[in-house]
Amino acid sequence: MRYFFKSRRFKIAAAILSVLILASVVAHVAGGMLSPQQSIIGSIISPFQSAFTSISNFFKDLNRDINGSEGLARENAELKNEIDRLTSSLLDYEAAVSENEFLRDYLEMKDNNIDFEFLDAKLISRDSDDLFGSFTVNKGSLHGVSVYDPVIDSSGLIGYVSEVGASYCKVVTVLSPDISVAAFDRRTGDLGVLSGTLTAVENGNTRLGNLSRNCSVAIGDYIVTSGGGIFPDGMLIGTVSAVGNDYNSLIYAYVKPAADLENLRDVMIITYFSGQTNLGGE
Amino acid sequence: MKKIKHTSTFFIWVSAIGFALFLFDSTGILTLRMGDARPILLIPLLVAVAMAAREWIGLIFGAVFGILLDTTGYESFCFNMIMLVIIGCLCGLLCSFYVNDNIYAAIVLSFFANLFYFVVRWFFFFVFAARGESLTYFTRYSFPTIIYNTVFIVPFYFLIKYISKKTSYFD
Repeated sequence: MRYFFKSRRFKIAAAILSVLILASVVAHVAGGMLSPQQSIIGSIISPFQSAFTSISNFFKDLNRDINGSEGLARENAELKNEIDRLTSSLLDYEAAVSENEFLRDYLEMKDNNIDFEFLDAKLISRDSDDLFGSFTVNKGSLHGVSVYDPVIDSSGLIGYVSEVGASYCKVVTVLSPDISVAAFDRRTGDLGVLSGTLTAVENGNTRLGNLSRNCSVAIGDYIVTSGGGIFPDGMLIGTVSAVGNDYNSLIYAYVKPAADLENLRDVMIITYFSGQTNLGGE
Repeated sequence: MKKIKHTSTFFIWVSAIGFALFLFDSTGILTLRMGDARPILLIPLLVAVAMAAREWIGLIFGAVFGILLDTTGYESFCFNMIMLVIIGCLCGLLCSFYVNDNIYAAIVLSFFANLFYFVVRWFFFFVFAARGESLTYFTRYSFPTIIYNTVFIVPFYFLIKYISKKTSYFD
């Protein structure tokens, strides 16, 4: 066995692996880029993943049809669209009727949203071992995607781009403990920090912590981003599903994401918005 | 002593099986979750390959399978490549010099390979990363996955043995 580690072949293999690891370190430090081997292999396999994901979605839809729930699924989709529309209207309504200076600024920010640059993308694979729902989509640096670009769908915020390859990128969801979003309650204005936990994710929730002791967050309240970081402000994250006392006498709230993170297919990447904080190391 | 040589057909078969497993798992066509256990099938497959084809093939397939897992893994940062290279190489070496090639040895090797992988992963991505609730994560998710993953060595061991018998020869 000793001769194996002393052999010339092993030394060559170790050298090759060291080069690959070094390349990974450099790529990561340079700004969240994928390592060369990941980028190359990922670019080769992503068309296969897209095809297999399409097949998987086909069988999921077929299964739903066979079970006779096609009509229900259609009605469900229509109702969800209606909820999205009403939610958007409700947010606009709350902003419009309030005389608070921050809400007036919010209206201005909504008008400024015409500066958003969107890129549509399809989910091609998931990290099946990740409890927090991270996934990969079929757009990368060649399409203008950068690290920390926000990812949304029609319902609300999904997460941000964590690593970028040439033709695909990885997305971290709002359920992850590695995400840390400044967010506030739309109704009360209470400010907190949104980050995932293991306990929260068991029920498909994320956690809004560091709420002050005398906050008045309630179940059903909408939680939106407060901006100033990698996310634009006013992005709907989800609704409060539970409220509790934290160990340090602060309050926390469990937030059910507005986006259906388990059944995502198509997403939008915001490749640019005014006031975007560049943390991508460019 | 006669050395066993594997033909290119062996590599093609193993690559195809590994690639198919990876695609089925990452795209949701084949989800074998049982409760909180989420198997990574490439690990028991790698152990079976390393036992049949020894250290060099184990090292190469460890690198290939590891890079595949890294392409979808969140923040894995070539972690899977390093771990699976170590697992493939060590399993092959142990089979070459110390361990008999039988199903019982395969189960023990697979268990320790999975234990090694998930413990190191837990340390790096939960404990050192200060993600919180790390002990809960290990007892509730990692350990059941270790057991569940180990179970899959049984079919993979016999499958790779069969492929090896059909596609290899003694030099």
